[in-house]
Amino acid sequence: MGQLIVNGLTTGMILALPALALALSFSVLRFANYAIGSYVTLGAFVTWWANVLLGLPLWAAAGVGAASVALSAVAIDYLAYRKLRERSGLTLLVASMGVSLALENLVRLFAGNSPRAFDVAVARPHRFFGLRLHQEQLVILVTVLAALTVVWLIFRFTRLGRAMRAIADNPSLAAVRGIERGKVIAAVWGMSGALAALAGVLIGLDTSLEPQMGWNYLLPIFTAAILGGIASPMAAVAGALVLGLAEEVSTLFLPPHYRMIVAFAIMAMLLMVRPWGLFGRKWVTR
Amino acid sequence: MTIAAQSLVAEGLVAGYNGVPVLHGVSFTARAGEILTVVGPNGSGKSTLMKTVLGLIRPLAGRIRLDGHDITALSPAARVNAGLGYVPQEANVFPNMTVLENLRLGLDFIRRPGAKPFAERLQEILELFPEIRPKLAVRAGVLSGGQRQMVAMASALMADPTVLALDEPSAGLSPRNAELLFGVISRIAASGVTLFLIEQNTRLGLDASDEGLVLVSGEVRLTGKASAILADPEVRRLYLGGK
Repeated sequence: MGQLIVNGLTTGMILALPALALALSFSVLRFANYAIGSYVTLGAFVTWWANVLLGLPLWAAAGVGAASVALSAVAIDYLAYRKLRERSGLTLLVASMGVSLALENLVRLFAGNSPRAFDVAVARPHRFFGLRLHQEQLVILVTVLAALTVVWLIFRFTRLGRAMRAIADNPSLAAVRGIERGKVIAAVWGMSGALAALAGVLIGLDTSLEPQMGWNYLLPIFTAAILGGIASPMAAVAGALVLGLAEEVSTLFLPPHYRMIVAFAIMAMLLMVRPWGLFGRKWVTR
Repeated sequence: MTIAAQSLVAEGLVAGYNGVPVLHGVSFTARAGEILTVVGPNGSGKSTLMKTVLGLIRPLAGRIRLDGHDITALSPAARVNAGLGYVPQEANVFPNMTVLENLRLGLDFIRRPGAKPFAERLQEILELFPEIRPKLAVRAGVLSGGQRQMVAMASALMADPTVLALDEPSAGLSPRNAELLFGVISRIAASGVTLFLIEQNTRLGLDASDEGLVLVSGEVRLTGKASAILADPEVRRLYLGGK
């Protein structure tokens, strides 16, 4: 059971970053960015390129990957979403599906369809109190905690964080207070892209890199964000941890390949009963 | 009277929607440190006048001056930076942020030359609004309507505006809270800020004001000292039930 909890928390930690990225853009722009999965894939493959082909150490390559996807997310917003800003969330959702397809196929075009892996040394797992902890799990733990701390500090203690929360809270009053929405939206996309890219690197470390890796994680990402509260970014992190644990514990009762059903069942139930999530603020009107 | 003593001046404003005027040549002058209240029946153009002053609607004709500077062509954000504060009627605080964060946001993104540092301005505002000092760490969304209105005004005043525009400040408040609120509005005016109000409660609004303006069908029906307007038999008959 202890090992299941460790594994579940690892899965939850991996999901926490893209779930946070999704909730971040949703809270400010009120649209669910379906392309979040392709940002995960793009981040992983740019990092792989910097790590394997350029020979950079993984941490530096991850920085290249995060910066590239951050810039790409800002550019995609400028080119694709900006003109649709006043349209409904559904229009933007469809636009993001198009972006998702385009990015995934771009990755296939340059990297092919074969699975790949980062150039990292293989390490023995550590043992703590009878629990097996892989080197990758430790890296995931430290990276996610560091990223979440940075986002939390930005949210709580900076002008940018206050501006993000102000726009999420009351966009018309934010405009009256002189907050320039365009700049804040660019910052949101930058952060969202970087977080998704880091998640891609962690998924690549945990398993392998494939062009559809982001697609495979799309349902758990949405479930985690909805579970926590898609309009409340830090609550989405809690949702990710709960989902990771639920998926892992479900393997006690279900064959492992049914884990996805757990995510789907949780999401369907929440959307019917408590669409603002377990820990989020009530923002949905029927 | 010098131009500088005239904080907010509108001259012959014609404004409306899709080229159809709602206001037909509205003019007024709000002097420094005074309260000017606009009253009128529903559909008289009060909200359109407020939107035009704030820059949310571009006038078809006429000019608006703030502290002697023509602000007619400025964007809403540029008007805020020029010294025009605004408190909307509804949704006038960030409900999920603390009162202190609301006050910070009143100053965070304002670019006015000579703006005071946050800590200094906060102390001045807390002296003007001692009621909100114990609430600084409280989420604005859990405050009562009156307290929320006070936080909204305090937040708008953080930027040290010359003119504070209030859109129906007494809306949704109990009579007692509305009276308390107008006491605070008088305090703000005494601190040197000019107040430009749109108000549904004619008696309460004019009672607390120096100047009044009665707007009917987009035209100025009556303007002058608020006490004189309150005493006007037609105003009493139409808006105060003949009392």
